[in-house]
Amino acid sequence: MNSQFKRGIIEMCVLKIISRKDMYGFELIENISQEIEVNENTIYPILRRLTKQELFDTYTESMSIGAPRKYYTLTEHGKEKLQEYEDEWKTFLDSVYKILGGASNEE
Amino acid sequence: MKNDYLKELRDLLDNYKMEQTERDEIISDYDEMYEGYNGRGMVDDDIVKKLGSPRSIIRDLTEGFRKVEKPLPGGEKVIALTPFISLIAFFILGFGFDLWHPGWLVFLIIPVTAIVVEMGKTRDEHLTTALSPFFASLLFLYLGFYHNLWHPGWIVFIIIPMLGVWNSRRTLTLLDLIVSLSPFIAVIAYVYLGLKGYWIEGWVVFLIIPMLGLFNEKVVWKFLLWELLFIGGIAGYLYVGYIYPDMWAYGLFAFIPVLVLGVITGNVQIGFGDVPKNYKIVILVSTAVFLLIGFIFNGWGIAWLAFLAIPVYAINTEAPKKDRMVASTPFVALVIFFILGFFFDLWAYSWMAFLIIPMVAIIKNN
Repeated sequence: MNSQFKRGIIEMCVLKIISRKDMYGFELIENISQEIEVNENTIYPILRRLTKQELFDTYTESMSIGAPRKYYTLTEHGKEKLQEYEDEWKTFLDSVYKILGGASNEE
Repeated sequence: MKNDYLKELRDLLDNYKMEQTERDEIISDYDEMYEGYNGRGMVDDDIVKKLGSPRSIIRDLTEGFRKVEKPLPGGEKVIALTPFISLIAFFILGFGFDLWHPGWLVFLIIPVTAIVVEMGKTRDEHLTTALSPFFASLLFLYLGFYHNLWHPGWIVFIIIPMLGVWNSRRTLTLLDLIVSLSPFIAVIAYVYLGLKGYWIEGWVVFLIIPMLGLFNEKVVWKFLLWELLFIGGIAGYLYVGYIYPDMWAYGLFAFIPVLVLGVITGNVQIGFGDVPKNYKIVILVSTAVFLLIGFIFNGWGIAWLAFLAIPVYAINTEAPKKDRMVASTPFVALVIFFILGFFFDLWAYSWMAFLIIPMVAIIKNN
């Protein structure tokens, strides 16, 4: 799969997963890698970029053992962007299914 | 160990124009990851393997950032002086020793100096890649003019992509590096075998490329099956060819099992990777023209000019519109220079073609 295309999809997945629950980077990688083959060097730059674009806010939580963890939480802007991505993705998939002659995304 | 890892990463990040907060973020992320894996009982070596060494990940981490420039002292002055130095050296060689040819080669000092000074500012790892066309050209011309080895002398140009791969080795695994270099090694081996009289069967050396690539196959039985079929195919092909010298073509049937397996698994792919279609066409046409001129007209000495179409096309497609003409002139100059010299033996005058480079640059910038 084209790496740019894959990166775009992973970006949407990252937004979606964090919309369900605030997570720290390592936790997110474990979560996402259950379904998609990703590594740290892909996820962390995405987290940094999306934070810079104000789609995420961060806060730290101290742990009883080890260094404090940096948690990512979706901002309002992030929620809007996620909705936008999801709509685009559904439209795109519907078009692909139509071309391929398979079942629609809605079905 | 963690501190060493983070320090090396920070040192590498310091070479890029990046805000301090951004740099700190990256270090903090890697700190967190390192701790995370450590907490899961992984040892240092395994963690570094998992995260990737700082040198192997730095390119991804700094995508979109420019390198910090550290100008070489007096570098700009040296660039400005080289045209004059070259011209004086050229006239001394020409008038003094009647060495108009190959005295014209002194003009290569101009671009070589500019490349060294400019790329030296950022300690660019591709400095030797950028210089390789000049050294390859020098070697090629030497082999051609003094030993009439235009063919297979052209093979020295393989050093250019090989250096490109070699200089990117830090971002590649050892296996990927070997696989990336294998096509060039195969070409060299093929030409060597050809010169020894094995042009017909020598092509099998190219099978080293997929055979090495197969080491990426994680399923052991698949890997073994593929390798076995390849070895069997080569053995069968050579056997048929050597027993029945006129029937090499029939020996190709020995590769049918490889093809069948390829079709079944969908692994047989011939292509250029992510190279866009228009580039594929340009590369194919250039190669076709090169081979056509070489084999049909035995014009190996001039045929290589066909490959200049590739960078010229790239410049005219990718470079900003205002820079295209200036960026293309060195190639145009080289073609004019070489054609005048090669066909009309005008080496003493054809070097003047290179003057169009500064002339065009000045006209465009005014």
